[in-house]
This record gives sequence, structure tokens and C-alpha cells, in this order.
Amino acid sequence: MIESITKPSIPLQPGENYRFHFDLTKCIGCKCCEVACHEQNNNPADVKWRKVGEVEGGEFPNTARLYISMACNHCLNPSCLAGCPTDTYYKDPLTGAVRMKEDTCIGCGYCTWNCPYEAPQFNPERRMVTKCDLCHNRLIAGDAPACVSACPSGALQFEKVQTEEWKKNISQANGPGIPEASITLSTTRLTLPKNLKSDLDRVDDYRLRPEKPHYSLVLLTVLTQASVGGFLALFISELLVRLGHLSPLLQKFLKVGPWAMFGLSALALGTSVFHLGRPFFAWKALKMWRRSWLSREVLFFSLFANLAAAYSLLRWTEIFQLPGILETLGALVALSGLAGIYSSARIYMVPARPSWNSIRTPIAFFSTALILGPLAILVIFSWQSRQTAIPLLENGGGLISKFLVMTILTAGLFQLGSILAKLFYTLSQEEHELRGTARLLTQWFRYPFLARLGLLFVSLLGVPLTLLGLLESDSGGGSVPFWIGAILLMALASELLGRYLFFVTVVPKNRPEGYF
Amino acid sequence: MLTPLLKFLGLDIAKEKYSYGIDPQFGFMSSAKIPDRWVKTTCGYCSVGCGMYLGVKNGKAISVRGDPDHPVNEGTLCPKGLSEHHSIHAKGRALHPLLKIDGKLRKVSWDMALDTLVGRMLAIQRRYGPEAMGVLSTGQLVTEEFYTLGKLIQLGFKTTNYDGNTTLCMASAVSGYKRSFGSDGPPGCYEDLEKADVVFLIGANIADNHPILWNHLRKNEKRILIVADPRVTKTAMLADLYLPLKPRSDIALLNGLIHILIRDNKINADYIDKHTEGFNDLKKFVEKFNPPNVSKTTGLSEDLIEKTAHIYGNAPSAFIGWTMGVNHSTQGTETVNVINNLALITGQIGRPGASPFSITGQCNAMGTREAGFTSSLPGYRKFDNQTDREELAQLWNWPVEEIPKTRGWAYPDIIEGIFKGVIKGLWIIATNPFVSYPNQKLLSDAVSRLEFLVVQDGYHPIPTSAMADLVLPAAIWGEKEGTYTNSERRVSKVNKALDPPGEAKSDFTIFLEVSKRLGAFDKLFPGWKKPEDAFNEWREISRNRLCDYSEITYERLRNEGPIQWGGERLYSDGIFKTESGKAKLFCVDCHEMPEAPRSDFPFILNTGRTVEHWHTRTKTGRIEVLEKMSPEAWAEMNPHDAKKLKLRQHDLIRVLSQRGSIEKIAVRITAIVQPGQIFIPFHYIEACANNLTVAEFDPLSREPNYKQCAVRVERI
Repeated sequence: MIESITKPSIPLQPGENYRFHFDLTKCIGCKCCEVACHEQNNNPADVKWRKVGEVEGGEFPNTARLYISMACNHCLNPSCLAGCPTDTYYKDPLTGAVRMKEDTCIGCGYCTWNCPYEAPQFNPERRMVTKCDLCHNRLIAGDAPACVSACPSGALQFEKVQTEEWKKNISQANGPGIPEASITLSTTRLTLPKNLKSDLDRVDDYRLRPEKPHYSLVLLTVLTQASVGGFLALFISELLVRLGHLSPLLQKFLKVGPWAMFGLSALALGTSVFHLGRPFFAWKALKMWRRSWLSREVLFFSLFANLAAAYSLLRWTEIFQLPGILETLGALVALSGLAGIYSSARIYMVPARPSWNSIRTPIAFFSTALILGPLAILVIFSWQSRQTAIPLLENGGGLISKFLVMTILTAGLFQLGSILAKLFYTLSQEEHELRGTARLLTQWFRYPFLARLGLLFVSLLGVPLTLLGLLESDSGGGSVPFWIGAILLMALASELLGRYLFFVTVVPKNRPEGYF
Repeated sequence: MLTPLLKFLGLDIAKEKYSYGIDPQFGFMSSAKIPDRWVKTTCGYCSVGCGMYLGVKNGKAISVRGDPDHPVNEGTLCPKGLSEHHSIHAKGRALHPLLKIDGKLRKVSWDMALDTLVGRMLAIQRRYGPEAMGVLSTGQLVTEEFYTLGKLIQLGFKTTNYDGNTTLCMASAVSGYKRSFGSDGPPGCYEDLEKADVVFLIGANIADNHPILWNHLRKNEKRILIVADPRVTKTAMLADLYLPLKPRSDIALLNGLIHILIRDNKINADYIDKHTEGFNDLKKFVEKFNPPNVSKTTGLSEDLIEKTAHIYGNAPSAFIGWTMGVNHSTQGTETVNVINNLALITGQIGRPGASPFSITGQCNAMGTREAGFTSSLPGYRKFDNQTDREELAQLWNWPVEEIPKTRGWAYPDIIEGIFKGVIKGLWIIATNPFVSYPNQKLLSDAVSRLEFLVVQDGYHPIPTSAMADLVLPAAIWGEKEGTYTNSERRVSKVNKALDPPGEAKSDFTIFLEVSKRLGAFDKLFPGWKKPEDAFNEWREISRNRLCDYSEITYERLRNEGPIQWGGERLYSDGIFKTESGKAKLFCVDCHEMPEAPRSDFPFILNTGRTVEHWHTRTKTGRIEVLEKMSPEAWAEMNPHDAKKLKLRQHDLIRVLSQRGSIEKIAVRITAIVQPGQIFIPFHYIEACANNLTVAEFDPLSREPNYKQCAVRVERI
């Protein structure tokens, strides 16, 4: 029997933390805790550090409705903390509460994706994330948290936990409708009814509510990927033609191409800053590169953009032409870009977002890179050919074109595969969140989803057709760049739409909600 | 200029607004919520009567905290109480007197407004007779205001057609108590919830509607909780024994329990003998309520009925609590009488843990029952009792022939009176019938026939004030002084924390101003200036009555905290307020509900509440944190019915009765309701349950039958 505490005292014994205990058998669903939390912290109505949800089951008259009041679970392995790029979170040494340093948060919201309980909440007025700190100041003063003090039914309590013991067995942190406690080692202890009904469902289960589209992230990911794919295509093209003869067309092409790709990445990175609640402090995102994939993404893409600028400059001016330097630099650009894409993908692969947490995510991201990048290069290449009136397929040109087309088609097939895999996988699963994603794809967003597939399919078909036409006419210039350009636009639209769907159809793990 | 940019860049994170500080009384809290002063007061929503502090800073109410020393709530508050300060500065407060001129409500001076009120009402009375003026008040005013208003209407305007929305609420409890015990007045107290061996709740969902009472119940670890309710409410789920009875079979159940208790000799013969009358008739009458019959009527198994009877019969102390599930019925009063029967024959009254206890509705419904001059003369005096009238005439120095000999029309009869062409002018005070009255269509038909409608309220526009010819802006809770009396007869001080907004005035001031224009001020309210003057007169009026306030003063309330009139429990000596001093037992048959389901309206509609909202949402609908928790109405339907109608969770449906419809409401598929039943909360004008409800009333209490009517559901 663990003792419930009304007058906390600090310090605790080593190995002890404070935590909530919630007794589902006692809660009457009055929501006093929720309102008391708002009053204690002056939070707006939509910023819910604590929320009361419901699970329900049984048949009349043996009906069961259980209310579940949940705030931050002050986890022993807090995923908000692990993912944070700015080291804003810390486990308070006095109480064990997961707390935030107010000034370091840049409002990226990554913690809100990582937490399976919706504990960190973005406050639009402050443009930063805020969360329950176990009423730290009240604890120091010897008072229980406001929500605990407000509970008229004695369901919400406050107690000590032996952290090492709890780690060994956290079964008491699990309950109906609540995400698996092992993800973050939640410390909140739950007391469940003795004869728990097996058919208890979350009452919010029916509700389809798309997530935010995050347009700036749609642009960031798709454009950086296109840019990296383009550089990679250039780099390999150059290696290929080195084997042959470098025509004037290729020389010119290799001068212009890098600038275009650099411009794309600069645009993407510039846009992404405005995804932050506090863009002024964007640079702080680099801080936790040892731990956070978000920091790493920022690091690699910054590296990529700077190296790409250097590479483009060297290419253009043709100064500083030491043997091998361009190749080395080009390889570094490509590698940092690939690392950036991989980091990007890893950001999304978090347990709290099941439809993202899959190998499909990096496959999709790399496929985007290798569809759009080479397509863009092909456009520039054919445009140069038109401008210079030098036939496209002359000398190394044919080899490069074939290489680009093969890459695009291969990546396109992978992309189609990743989309269909996601659809069939989520359709086949029982998990609330994955089922939700399937429903969003096939019901709410079925037309955008069909458009996404259709556009991709048509652009993939278009590439070899254009190429065939090109071979037949066997001439440079003409309408080729326009045809390829049109295909690029279609493919870009498809990828942007795909990425939009990626964001809006994820169903996060979450504490249970009520009927509304 | 700079601020939006600083905000956008993330250089301004509103640190000050979200900082914390130490309040000397309540410790750490948001700095923005720390007031300059805390005003001790009592919650203005329901009749539980929680003590609280209202925090004021720079002329604004910014926070509330429960009073840790108050015996009712010990520092806790329900979500409505916890956010009550938001009701004061909410949008849509009535700020100025408004008069309908050329079909439009226009701002006028108070003088003009009050002159119009008195002038028009007197003109109507001159033309059609004094009874042509009707008044509908509330349970939300302070006792001082009820007392003042009662005198103003009955003696000043000389109309008896005066009633309150309390008739929509607990009138059946009042009538039931009067019939059984000879007087109104709930015999028990909240402490009984802590001390009873058995707590039997009938038609009372206290987990949702009186959450702070749960605080008392949960402390009682030995208790067995029995809940009878057609819906598996949260209260029912937490019961040790749940009785899922059919709607309107509670009388059969109670008679059945009495039958078993008599059969098995689990009654208190000594108590019956000394303190009741009518037992032999009752014994004979309940013979037919044998377990097989009762099982058939209630849908409960015979075992369950026997078990319930024995648990109740064997309990050293047993408490019966009820609310609207009992009161909202054409047989409400009689149901209360049967509940009282059960308590009386087992002697479960007047002792710790033993009471038939009506859990009242509004914050000061008790105040209007005692002092209000509506269903009885002030001080639980009877209209038809010569001695009572003479006593009052003497106390008031008023001609005895002007004290009414009979009660005027009750609420539904006033509405009916408009149809009959008798009532021509109506004054509605702090209530919102255009959400709360059964059969809304009938009500709008009636109101459109009025010559003059005055609405006095803290908010405008509300559905009712929108219909008014004259709107009087009133102060609300937090802006005026007085007392509330809660369900357990506990008198608590209500204090003014700040001035009302705009030109709004306290109801007390408005009543005195009206009396001056009527030329009755000096006679009715000699020298009165403040609510305490009314309270002091009321103390004298109630002296030696059951509800005796004579020893309760403002000073004592301030110094000692809230005080119960009549002590902790009434009738501890077994002497009742009937002529014989004995309580009466009643033989009550179980009738059919007024509108049973039929083929074209196959569902029974049950109406009720949700914890986040208060009544017609004029307050809680304006409080963002509550409104967002429960933003719209819903219709609960059993999964089996939903399957038949091919409805999915949250589909939108239309609900129709013979009288009207709700055009759009979300269905909530849940096994909380029985198959064949629909439940809809009544708070929402947007999907108004009272478009559907039937205008049938208890013949004794005149309380509406809100809990059952026949409806049909259509997909949209």
C-alpha cells in the first residue's frame, strides 16, 4: 500500500520521485482537476496540461464508463526530453518532475510529437511549448499539486515512487485506452477496477481529426530532398562523364546545375525557420546534435547548404582548381545531404506516431529525393541543350540521361511501393492510431490520396515516353525541356501532396479524450 | 507596433502573464490570479452551498478558491464553482435598461424603465384586474430579495399570480414534505451521507449534478450505496447495488420494498405507533405490491427487489436521497410521499444517518421556499390558515383581509393563464423559460399574447430577454449581498465583491425602487436601505417557525460561518408539524407515464444535465473553459437501437415529438441508456430538449413531467 501525500516535503530519499496516482474506481468525471489546473496556471482554455478522457464498454445495465484524468506522467524515460533539440527539458533533481527551462524552448513542437500523452502543449499566445511541472512551486511550499487538491472524489492523488523498482515493473502504469507505458516509463500509477471489462473502448475512437498540415515542413522536407537528390545526380553525372569526353554542353550544365540546387535548399531551409514558434532563436536547434535527430537534421542541412554554396562557387569561377578538390567537395555535399535526409526521416520515426514510425518514412524521403532531384537536373540539362543548340544525347549526354531516367523510375517504383505498403499495412492493423490513419487516407482524404497516386503514376509514365520521343527525333532543343518541366511539376505536386498527407493522416498516440 | 513583431520572432513569450507568485492565503499560484483581496462568499450555482473566496483586483473578479474551513465543501469546488469568477466579466452582460420602442429594444434611463414597469403593470391591473399581472422568479436570488419581492408582489401589486422556476425544480419535494410532515423542510443533512449504513439514491445523479456531495459520501467507508435510476449514470456505476428500473416505476419499487419490510417484519412498529398515522391502510394497500407484481412493473428481478428491501430493512441507519428523477413527474409529490412512507415505517428519520432527503437544485431555492411568499406564506405559513394570516398581518401591521387566503397560480398555470386571457403582463426575474419550460412552442404562443413582458436578468440577450418589452439589467452573484440557504438548511453569507457593470443594479435595489413608484415603500419596507434590513425583518417573521432565523444575524454568520436553522436534523423528537403531531402515511398507486411510447414515437425521451453546465447556460455557456468541454448537446442512444437505425457514433439526427423537434443533434451511442430510451441534456437552446417535452404537470406541486415523453429519431 503506497501512502497518499497531502503535504509533500523536500528533499526526497535518493531514488525517490514524486508522482500522480489516479484511481479509476473513484473518479466521477467531474473535471475539477482540469479547471483547477487552468486556474492555477492561467492557461487558455485550449492549453490542456490536464485532461479528462473516457473509455466505455459493457452492455446495459452492466455498463462501464471509466474516466481517465491525465496530465504529464513525469516519465523516467521522457521522450520529450530525449528529442528536444535545445535541451529545454530536465528531470528536476528535487522532485523527479519533468520540467522545462522557459527561455531555451524555441517552439519547434518536436516534444509534442514525441510524447504519447499530449503532455507538452504548444501555447499559441507564448509561441512556445509549456507543460505540467507537478506544481513545482506548491511542492516546495509543502502543498499538493492544484489538481490533486481540487479532486472531490479522492481519485487523483499524489505519492512517492521508488524509481528503480518501478522500472522493473511498470504494469500499474498501463490502463484501458492509454498508450503503453513502456514507451517512456510513465510514473503515474493507475488503480483499475477489479473486474475490468475487456471491451472498453476509447469514446474518442470514432473521431477522425486530421493533424495540422505543417506547410512549412512540407516545403522544407520536399525541397531539401529535391535539392540533395539533384546534387547527388550531378555528382554521379560528373563521375560518369569523366569517363568520356566533357562536351561544352556538359561544362555549361555543370556550372549552372549546382546553383539551382543550392537555391532550392536555401529556400527550403529559410522557410523552415518559420515553422518555429520562436524563429529568432532558430540557431539554438543545433545544440543537442549528440542526442536529438532534429539537431542533427539542422546540422547536416546547414552543412549541406554551406558546402553546396562553396561547391557552386568553385564550379562557377573555376578558380582554385586543384585536382580532386571538386570531386571531394561534391562527395561531401552529397554525403551531408544524404545524412540530412536520413536525420529528417528519423525525426518522424517516433513511437508516439505509429504511422510514421516505420522504414517507409526514410524510403519515402529518399525516393522523393531521387525522383525530384534527377528530374530537375534533367530539366536544366535539356534546357542547356536547347540554349546551346548542342544535341542532348551527344557524347556523355546520352549516358547521363539514361542514368537520370533509370534513377527516377527506380525511385518512383519505391515511392509507389511505400505508399501502397502504408495503405495496406494501416488497413490491416487493429491499433487505434494505425486504423485511424487508414480511415483518414481512405475516407477523409480519399481524393487527395488518389490524386497523389495518379500524379506520381503519370509522371513516371511520362519520363520514358519523353525519352523515347527524344531518341526518335534524336535532336537537342525543341520542346524537350518543356515536356520534362511539365513532368517535374507533376511529380513535385505529387510529392508535395504526398508529404501533406503524411502530416495530416498521422494519428498520434494520445491520452484518451471525451466524446467532444 | 513592435509587440506583434517581437511575438512573431519569439522574443516576447508573455512571461509576466505566465509567472507565479505567492498569495498569502492560498500559496503559490499564477501571479495573474493573485488578487488584492479575497471576498468570502457562497457559490451562486447549486444548492450544495459551497463556501468560497472570490479574488478581486483592480475592480475585476480574477479568481476563486474553495473555502477550506467551510463544512460543506472543505476547500473543494465543482468545475462550475472553480470558474465562477468568469461569469462576472463574461460577454453579454445586461448593462442598460432597454425598452421596446417601435419594435426595437432601445436604451432608456432607469427612471423611464421603472416608471414604465409600474405604469404599464398598474394600467393592465386597472383594466383587467389585479390578477392580470403575473411574476415568475427564480431560485437564484438572495433570501433578502425573495422576501422583499414576495411582499412587493403580493401586498404591493396585490396579485397572487406569483411563482418561481423552483416549481420546475423541487416543488414536488416541497409538496411531498408538506403532505407527509405538515411542513416543508428537508429533515436531514450532508453529514448523514457520512454516517448512514445504507445510502439509497433515487433519481439522483449526484456524481454529475452535485459532485461536492460525493466528497461526503466517499468518506463513509462502511456504507452500502443503492442507486435506482433508469440510466446507468456515473453514480449508478459507483453503487454497490444498482437498480436499473423502468422509467416511472419508482412508486411500484418503493411500495414493493414496503411490502417486503412489512411481510418480514423489518419495520419499526414502535415508531409507527407513536409517530405516524395511516399505517393500517398502507399495510393493506401494499399487499398487491408483492415481488412478482413489482418485478413486472419495474423490470427488476424479484431477487434484486428482495435484496434491496433487506439491505435497507437491516440497516441501523438509512438515508434516502432524491432529486429530479423523482420530482420531475406528474406523480412527483406522491413519489416523495412514498419515499417518506419508507423512511417513516422503518423509523429512519431524525437520527444521524437517517433521513428522507431532497437534494435541492438552485443555490437559494430554499430561501424562496421559506421566505418567498409563492407556494406558501413566509415562514412556512399556510395560506388557508387563519392563525397564520393573522400572525403575519400583525407582524407586518397590514390589514388581514389583504393577506391572500389561497395560493395564486403556479408557474404552468400562469402560462396557461396567458392563454385564457387572464394574465396580460408578466415580469420574469432571473430565469430563462425559453430554454427551460416544457413544450417551447406552447410557451412562445403564450408569450406572444402578452401585452407587456418585463425581463430582469444579469445577461442580455438571452432567449427570454430577446422577447421582452422591457429589459432590466441586474447585478449577479459577486455583485450583491445577502444570504443563501442550502439543501441542508445551512444559511451562508453571500457578499459583494464588486459593483455591477454598466447601469445594472441589484435586484434588491430594483425591488425597492419599484415599491417607491408604487407608493408602497414606506408601508412595505419602512426605512430599508440595505439587504440586512430585509434580513432582520425576516428574522422576526420566522421567529418560532420551523425555519427559525431569529437567532441568525449577519454578524454571527460573519464570525461563526454558516449556520443551520433547525439544527442538524429536524423531527428528532418524532413530533411533526401536522395537527396531530404525527406524520402521515399515504397509499399511492403507480400510474402510467403521461405519454407512453407508441409506434410513431417509439422512444422514451429522458432529459437531464451535465456537470459542466448550469441550467440554460446563460452563465456557463459564456465561460470558455466549461463551454469547450461540453460545447453542444447530444442524444444518448443504446447500441442496439443505433444498429437498427443504422446510426454510427456522432451521426447527426433529428428528434421529433408530437410538439416539436430538435433539427440537428449528434447521437452518442452508449449502453448507459436502456434500449428504447433517448437521453438529451436540456441546457442547450441550440438543440432544445424542451421543444420535445410534454407540458403535463403534477396536480399537487405543478411540477412538469420532464423525464418522460415519446419521441422519434430520424437520420439526417
